[in-house]
Amino acid sequence: MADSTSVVKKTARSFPAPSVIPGFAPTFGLTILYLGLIVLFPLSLLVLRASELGLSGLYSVATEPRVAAALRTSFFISFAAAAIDVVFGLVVAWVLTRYEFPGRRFLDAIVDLPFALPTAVAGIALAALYAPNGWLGAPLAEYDVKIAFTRWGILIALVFVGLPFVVRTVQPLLAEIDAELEEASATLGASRAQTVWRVLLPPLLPALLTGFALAFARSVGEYGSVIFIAGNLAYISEIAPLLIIVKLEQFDYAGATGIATIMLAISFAVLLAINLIQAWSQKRFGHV
Amino acid sequence: MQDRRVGFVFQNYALFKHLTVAENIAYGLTVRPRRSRPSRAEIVERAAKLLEFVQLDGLGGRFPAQLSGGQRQRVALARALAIEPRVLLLDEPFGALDARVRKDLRRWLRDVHRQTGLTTVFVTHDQDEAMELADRVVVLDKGRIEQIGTPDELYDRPASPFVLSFVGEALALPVQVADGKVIFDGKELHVSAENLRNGPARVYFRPADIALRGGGIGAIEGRVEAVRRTAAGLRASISIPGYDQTLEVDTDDREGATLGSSVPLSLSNVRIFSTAEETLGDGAGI
Repeated sequence: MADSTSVVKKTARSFPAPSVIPGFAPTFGLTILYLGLIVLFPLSLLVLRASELGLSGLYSVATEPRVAAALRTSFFISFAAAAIDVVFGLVVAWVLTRYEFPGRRFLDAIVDLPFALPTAVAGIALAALYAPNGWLGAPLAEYDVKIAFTRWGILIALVFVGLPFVVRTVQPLLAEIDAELEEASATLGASRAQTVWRVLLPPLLPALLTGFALAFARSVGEYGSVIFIAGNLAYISEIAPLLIIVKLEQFDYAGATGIATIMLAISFAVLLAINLIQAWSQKRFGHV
Repeated sequence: MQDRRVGFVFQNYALFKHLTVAENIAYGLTVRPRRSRPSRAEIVERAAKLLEFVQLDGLGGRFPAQLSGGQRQRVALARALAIEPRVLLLDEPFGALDARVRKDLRRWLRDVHRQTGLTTVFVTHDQDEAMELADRVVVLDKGRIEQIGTPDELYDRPASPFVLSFVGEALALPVQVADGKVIFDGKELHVSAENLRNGPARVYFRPADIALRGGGIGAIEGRVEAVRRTAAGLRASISIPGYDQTLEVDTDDREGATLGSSVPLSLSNVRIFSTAEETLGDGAGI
């Protein structure tokens, strides 16, 4: 016992100013081990495999017109979908937390369904719904609006899978908002819109950014629900994950891992940027 | 509420945590419609003036989380004052603060009141706070107004047993009223009970109005249970047969207050209320 404590102390001391809270060394060790085994190890194998291409090979994969188009489609539409999810996820969370109405718990449970449903099922359902002969697709086709088998279809599928992330990250913060803050704002002469915009929303910004990041990350990697509704036309509605599968089917493993590595790099850059914005907003709006 | 220009201060401050202290104070000005909104520079200047007024100059750039409870409540007050209210409504503003800070803020609030001259409604459950701050006190019990009056009136002429025991310590002696006579433990007390119905009643008195001597409202005898020395004299614990509470009496009568002896008690300034319907009867003790 005495031995192990002294070991812990020694390890802890070698880090610059660790927290005074005990247990830093074992938990930090477990964190590194876990992240290493579960996340970094597989990803590094991916990078290793892609490195067969070399930097120039990687560059030629990225600039291959079909790949570039797919990457653009994937990231831009994911970004748009996450943005839409932020707006509507906030509204859904707002309604579910701030109002009492019959069926509230039922609706609350429905929010998680996109998590639970196999995404392929969701894709098939959406495709059937928006196909030119589907319930929604048929009336829209009359006005010459095509959703299924276009980029709009991808957007709808990604909005569907990303929604719960925003709702679930914003909900606890919304529930914590003190009714007195709204009353205070009203007594100071603010209109309802001013109260919402200046008092209620700013503290939610960090959570909204987290929700955005999660929805975006999920959307970039989404495969199952998209391929059924996208139509997968090269250069138009083909997403990067699909291209990876295509390359794999052609036994072009290096090409597949190349695309994957590029996706990984872009995703990491975007998520890091969001995290930095979030850290800033936390500083600005997150005072407890 | 906003149309009536009532400045509101909440018990839990209700400060906007994502805004700095200065921004909090300026909030009421910045949300005004454009045509009546002061210029940006004027808003900043007024916020600074209010900060100075609540003695927080230099803290305008901090966030509420970086202030102590007392400071936060002063920010809340400054924020309420910024809209130039006609009435100030303080809802248990010191409820969440510790005793010392409460006392300081109480004194400070009286100065603020004197300087601003604003009509202020102060809600509190701390009777000392009410008595010290208010010109007029409204005592509420279970949502009903028990009495409205100056602190003097509340102390000297309480309208109900609730008010009497609420604004200060009070002891109650259970008695019977029969045909205008007040009977305690088989003996008559000289308390007028003209307006009281026959039946059970209570005679109320304050601890300071008990003395160890004969006379008073009637021959009440007590037994000295304990005697302790205090700075001024003696403090005797006295039990009265037929009454379950012990009275603490300050006295300098060393002979009267011998342990175990029976002593006559005199009560002055007593008040009697019928137990059944709490009607008022005035009884002046001698």
